[in-house]
Order: sequence, then C-alpha cells, then structure tokens
Amino acid sequence: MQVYRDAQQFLLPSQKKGSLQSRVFETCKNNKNIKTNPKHLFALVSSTLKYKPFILHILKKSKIMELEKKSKIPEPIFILMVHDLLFSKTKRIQSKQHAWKDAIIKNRARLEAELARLKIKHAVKSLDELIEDDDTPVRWFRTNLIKTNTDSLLREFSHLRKVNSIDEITNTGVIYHDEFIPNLFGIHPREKLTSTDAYKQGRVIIQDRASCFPAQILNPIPGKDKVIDACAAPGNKTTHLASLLKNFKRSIVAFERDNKRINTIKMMVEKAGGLDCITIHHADFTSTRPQDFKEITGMLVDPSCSGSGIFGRAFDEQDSTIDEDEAREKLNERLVKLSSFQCTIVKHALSFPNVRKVVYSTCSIHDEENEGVVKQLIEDEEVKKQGWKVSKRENVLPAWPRRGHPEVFKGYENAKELAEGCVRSLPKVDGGIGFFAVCFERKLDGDYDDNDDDGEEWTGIED
Amino acid sequence: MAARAQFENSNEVGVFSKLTNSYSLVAVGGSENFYSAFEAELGDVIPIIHTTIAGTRIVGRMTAGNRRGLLVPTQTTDQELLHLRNSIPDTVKIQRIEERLSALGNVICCNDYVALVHPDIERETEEIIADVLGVEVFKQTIAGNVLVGSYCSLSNQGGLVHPQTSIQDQEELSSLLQVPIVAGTVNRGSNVVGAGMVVNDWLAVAGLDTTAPELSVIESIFRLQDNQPDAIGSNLRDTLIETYS
Repeated sequence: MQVYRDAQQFLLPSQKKGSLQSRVFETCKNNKNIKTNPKHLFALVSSTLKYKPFILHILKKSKIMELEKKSKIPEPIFILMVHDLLFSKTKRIQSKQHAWKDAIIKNRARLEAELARLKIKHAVKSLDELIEDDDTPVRWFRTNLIKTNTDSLLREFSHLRKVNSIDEITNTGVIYHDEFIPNLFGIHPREKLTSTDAYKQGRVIIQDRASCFPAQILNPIPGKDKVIDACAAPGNKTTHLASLLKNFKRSIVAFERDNKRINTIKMMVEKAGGLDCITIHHADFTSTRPQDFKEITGMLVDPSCSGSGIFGRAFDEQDSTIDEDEAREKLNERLVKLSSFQCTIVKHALSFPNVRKVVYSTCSIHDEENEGVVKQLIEDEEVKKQGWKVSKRENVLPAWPRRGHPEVFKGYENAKELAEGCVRSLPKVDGGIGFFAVCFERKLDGDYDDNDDDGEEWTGIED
Repeated sequence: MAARAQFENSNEVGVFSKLTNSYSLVAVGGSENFYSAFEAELGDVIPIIHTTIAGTRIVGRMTAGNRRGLLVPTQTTDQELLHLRNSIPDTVKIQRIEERLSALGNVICCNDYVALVHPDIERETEEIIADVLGVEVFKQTIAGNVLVGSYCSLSNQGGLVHPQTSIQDQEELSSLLQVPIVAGTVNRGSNVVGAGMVVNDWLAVAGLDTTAPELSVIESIFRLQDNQPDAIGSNLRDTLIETYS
C-alpha cells in the first residue's frame, strides 16, 4: 500500500512546473517519507495517467466507488489500484493483505466486465491500442560537428542500412540521412542509441528534426556572426548553433532565467564541448539592454509556449475534472497570455541595434502562438520603423513542404507570401513534434543588396 | 444434432433439464422418451444426472452451470447436493449460492467463457460466478428483459436470443460473447428461448412443438449440422448472422 500512498500526490493536478518525470524524481529526493524507488513510482504514475480517462470511465460505469464508500479509499489510490489490477502487466495490486486491496478485489468480476465492454466500445484487442502511442515515430539525432564529422560518425553507424525516406523506418536496423537538415539522421525509436559511446561522449545529440529548423534557418557564418539564444534551455538549439558556427570562440550568448534549467543547459553545453563558443547568462532576456550587445547580428527566440506540438508529455497536465468547454476556455485564456509574452520577447529581440536576422519558433500547433504573433509583430509601428520583414520562402527551408496558415493573414495583399515564409510541422505526421518557425530579417546601412553570403545559406538543401 | 422432446406434456425442456459440455441434469419423473432424447446423444460421453433441486423438478431454471462448475440456489437440500457431488465429474466445482434471485437459471445465462447476468444480481454472486464458472460476468438485459437466462440460449458456438432483440443489441451481445447471435423463437413462436430449449456444443434439445424452420435456425447458429465441414465456421459466422438476423 506504501507505493500507492507515495504515488497518489502525482495524480492530482499540480501547481509545480516541470514534467512529470522531474516532479516525481525531485519529490522523491526531497521527501524522505517516500520509500518507493522513484523509477518504479514514475512508471506507475505515468502509466496510470495514460489510462486515467479509461479507468475513470470504468469506475463510473461499475459504480464501485459508491459501493466501497465504507472503506474510505482516497480516489487517487482507488485509481492507482484499479490501474494495477486491470492495466498493469502483472494484473496484480502491489500490496500485502490490506482492507483496501480486499475492497477492490471483491469487485474484480465487475471491473473486468467493464474493461471488456470498454475494449469492445473502442474496438480494440489489446490495451495498448487504447491509448495513443506517445512515442515519436522517428528518433532524430544530429552530428555534433564540434566533436566529429558526419563521415566518421557514419562509420560508427555502418551496421545500419541506409533508407531514403522516413516512411521506410518501420523497424530497427535502418538509418535515414535527412534531406532538409544537413548532418541530421533518423532511426527507429527502439534502435539503441543512448547506450552507444557516440551518444555518451556527445558526438551525437538527440534532437527532433523540427527543432533543428531555427538554427538552420538562422544559419550563422563562423567568424562573422555573433548570435543570441534568448531562451536557451535545455540547450539543444544552442549547441546546434555552436555546431553550425564551427565552435568559433565567443560567438554565442545564451540566456536562461530559470534556476533549475540553467543547470541543464550548462550540462548540455559541456557535454557537447561548446564551452568556448557559448557564454551562458543566468538572466531574463527581456531585462537586457539592447545597446550592450552591439556585436550581435542574429537572434534565436524560442520562448515558452503551450507545448501543444509535443506528444510525449501531453498527459502531464491533463485535468479530467473539467469539461470540454471549460477546458477550451482555459486554453484560450492561456494562449492569450502566452502570445502576448511571446510578442514582447520577440519585439525585444527585434530592438537590438545590429541584428539582421531573428528566428522565432515554438513547439505549439496553435495559430495564436504562431502566425498570430507574426501578424501582431508586422503590424507593430516600431517593428515597421526598424525595417523588419518576414523572410521569404526562398530563405527559409524552401524545400520543406509544410508552410504557415495563410488564413491568419487574411486581408493582406501578400498573405500567401507571408504564410509561405512560415515553416510548420505536424506532430507525428511529419516524423516528430509539432513545430513552427519564422524568420524576420532586415537590411541595415552598409549591407549589400544582393549578398553573396545569403546565397550560401540554402545551398545545402537543394532538392 | 438437434432433437425435439417433451417433458410430461410440456414443451419447455429448458425448465426441466440443464445441459453443459461436461454433465447434464434432468428432472426426475419424466417419460422414457424425454430421457432417451438425451441418452441417445450423450449416453457414454457425459453423465446424465436425474435430480431435483430444492425439492422441485424445475432443475433447469434453478441452476446455472458450464463445463467448469455448477451453481445451485441456497434452497438446495444437503441430500441433493451430496447426490450431485457424487454424480458430477470431479473436475466440476459445485457451489451453493445465497442469492435473493434464487432461480439461477433465469438470471444467469452462460457458456464456458462468458456469463450474462441479471442487472440486480448481488456483487458476491457475481464474484462466485466468475470464480466457479471461470467466466467473465456481464450485467445485461435482453430485449429489455432482465431475466437473461429465460430469454437467451447460449453455447460456445453461438447464441439464440429473444425475437425482439434489436440488431444493435444483437451486435453488442455478439461482441461481448464473441460468438454469433441470432434472434429467434422455439416451440412454434415462443420467445422464451432459454426455457424452451437446452444446448451444448454438440447437442440441442428443443420442445416438441418446435417447427422445422426454427430447428434449422438452431442447427445453424449452434453449428449442429451433422455433415458440417470443419472449415466452415468463423469465416462464415458473419454471413450466418446476416442471414438469420
């Protein structure tokens, strides 16, 4: 019963931030009363949360909460025990003789009947089919050019057969060299990667394809460009920039304001070997003074967003007690808040004196946080005065097929062009997380109109 | 095969007998004709036990059982229980149930894998059914009737239900039970298909009044045709349901 007592707090909606995993592990570290193995606890809680809507349905239909009112089992513990009885691999409640366990076991026949009915209702044979698979369809990783190059890396993965499209990654044993992002590879999620030396020594970095877009779009030139990563943690995009900048000394400034996440990025940068190149500031980017960063030419802004494009942790924040309308209202409220914050931070980025290119990205699929923010910015007088424009498709991954939503720019003469300038990716369909990226650019006095360097930016991605 | 029989001028053979894959109960005092309908097919294969339950002859309505077990109501006398224990194969568990709805045959309808039960059955009974009979237990009504045992006849091959069961209900039942279901009648239009006949995986006995078309539906849905090739079956089930629904 101890394990359920320990686990019950994680089932309730929490005020604490962070993923379920970090919540569980941190609580276990700080709370000496929790005696269960944190890994075990996390496995139990995450699986229970996955099945929670179904468990609640079963509880409701079988009415056993009312029947067992006398035993006074707290609801979260009830859910956890029913999960173990019906949905776990062993189909056993992890407890010695206990009144609560007996109360549940007494109702076993009824619970199993409801489970069978549930399976029939959803027309599934096994329980796994009930829940949406929250694993990425493709595991993406890129060469860390600071430590190695693609040729020697490919030799380490020479046991894998090369395939030409992500659709062919149906099982382990194959590798796909991405056509949109140089030095990026896709493998089957079950392929062993985290146990290889290449991963442990930081020669490869696991990063979703879509989240490689911003750095690729910014495409800074080593020795010439100096860039800021405004919201850096966990640091994948930052090290991707370092990789593109050939680890040129002091060419990246990374900002992160969160106390905990700052340690994550420090660790990531160290692992990738980018300490010389990346200067990490533990500060809020919006409180910086643009005049202090005259040398900066490019900017990568990936602020906090709803995360609606990410599927792996979507269930963390689920609150099943509220109905759909309420949930939508809550979401809208949240989107308004987020988009205004996103606007502020990008606007701040656009106010740096010598910046020519600003890439804005989110891992959200909501228009409000994506095209909506772009629209607000291009309508802003100050931004107009500074000479910012949305980059055209030819400078923003031209070969990538999925672009922005033109209906958001309705009423604009160049609505289609604006939308074409935005890059989108859909969760799973496009082989990874849902993502949005757009680039703002401007010419400053002294810039050539037809810059040869511009041409270089997309030679690597010819189709 | 499917046979017709009559118990003392009554067509409700399901009332006076119980048939499973490992034993059969018949009421005492019937005519030799009635017994021979069972003996002809079951004679050497499974025991045919002549008994009363709680002093009554309505053994089919009082009991519920399958290959693995037999449930009898609390009114069953010790003597009857002893007799049943002595006659039934050792592998079959017998359990006396304290249930308010004591006509177990009317409130429970089962094959070797699934049991449909009256929605108001007690929770403890549900557990006992699951344990003793080794089945999944579903609370269910059939065409709005709570007496599922009276209005449904079930074997491991198929099921016959009340003629007014809607197509939707039939589909739901069929997916619950994982066997084809057909709505039909026995005994020249009687809708109490549970009480009007008994069935196991190779024999069905229906009342003497059962018409030829009724019997042919029974033979088809329970797959009792003598010359049936083995390959027929699961792939034909859907068409069967289609044909007979």
